[in-house]
Amino acid sequence: MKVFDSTNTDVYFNLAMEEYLFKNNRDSAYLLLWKNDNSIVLGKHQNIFEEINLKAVEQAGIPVARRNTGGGTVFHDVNNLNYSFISNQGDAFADYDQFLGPVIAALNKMGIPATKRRTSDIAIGEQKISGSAQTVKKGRVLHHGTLLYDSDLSLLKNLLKTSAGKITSKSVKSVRSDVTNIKKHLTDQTMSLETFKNKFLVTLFPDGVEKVSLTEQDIEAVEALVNEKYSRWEWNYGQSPKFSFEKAAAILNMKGREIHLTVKLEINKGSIAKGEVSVDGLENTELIEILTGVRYGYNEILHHLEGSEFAKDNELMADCLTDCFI
Amino acid sequence: MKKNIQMPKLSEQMETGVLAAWNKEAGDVVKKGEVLFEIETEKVVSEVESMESGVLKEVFFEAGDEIKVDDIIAVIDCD
Repeated sequence: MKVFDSTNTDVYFNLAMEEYLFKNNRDSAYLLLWKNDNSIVLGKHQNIFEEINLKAVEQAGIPVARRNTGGGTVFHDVNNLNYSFISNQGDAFADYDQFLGPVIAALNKMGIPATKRRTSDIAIGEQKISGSAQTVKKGRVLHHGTLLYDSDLSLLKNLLKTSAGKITSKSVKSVRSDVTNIKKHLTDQTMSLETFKNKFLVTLFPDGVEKVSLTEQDIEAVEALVNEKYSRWEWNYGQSPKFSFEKAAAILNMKGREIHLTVKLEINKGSIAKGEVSVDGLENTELIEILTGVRYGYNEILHHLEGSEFAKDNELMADCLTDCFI
Repeated sequence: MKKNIQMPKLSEQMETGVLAAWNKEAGDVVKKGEVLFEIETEKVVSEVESMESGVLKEVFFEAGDEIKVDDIIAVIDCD
């Protein structure tokens, strides 16, 4: 086992590093430790539009990243420690215990009363401190998990889905859990995450372990993967399963007149494929013509509706109109 | 020659799997070893590769469907 302790806190870099080490050097086993700046990380088969509040996330400028493993959406910040085991496991499938066992044992030795919960979670009492997920390919497994050390979870609240619109799809849904931070349960309330991480490593490997870092060549390959895949709209948004969106809304124009809109959209590969809009009960093709082919997102839709004849004729603010589509 | 592709049994306990994503569409040319589709079960993503080269003729399920082990998912017309 070789340990990589990533000093990079870019979510796209860290996810690309994982994939790179999973797919290359296939005879080696690794433990990666990494932290991300504020970011939202989705499961591989999730519908991003169903999980996040698009407008709030776009306005906050928080990066959203799709990972290579299953499961739901997680908020990350620098006080959440992520670990990834990459190893060869032969024919075993969905074997969480081989990884969760040592992690829980190490936490217990450090005085943290952590226990396994459900298939892939670690909890203190009824509150979750860690979730994990896997991807497997040809006998090689990537198992990764979060360790909530001292995360500010309040940031998450307005970034998750709250739209009044109804989304229908066959995507993998997130399951909300009651969570807690590990630090709250330590006797030493001054312990930094760095100290916690070092103690965790020593407890996990009492006989020592080889620490390695990425070579310049590795970093180049990882950065190429960031540019080709992880930082791209096509991967993070465009990979979402197709879905339909429905919303009925009443908005006020600049003269105070109430206008009723009902919107139905079909979104495929992240872009608006077709839809129906009615305005005050009458079918309107103008808005759908403007939006067909447009990437589904608050700023994109706003950009296309601003200056539209429809907004002008009805004396509507473009942002009010955009809210009907999100 | 036509060959059926079934939902694989990936573990002892597995009874169903979710076909989470298609990497090929009906009508596509498929090479042996290429990823046909992905399964997600218990938060584990698993890529299923084609054992044959040929053309993906018919597809009976769409992404997001939960499928019983051994059910026929697609048919490949082998080279």
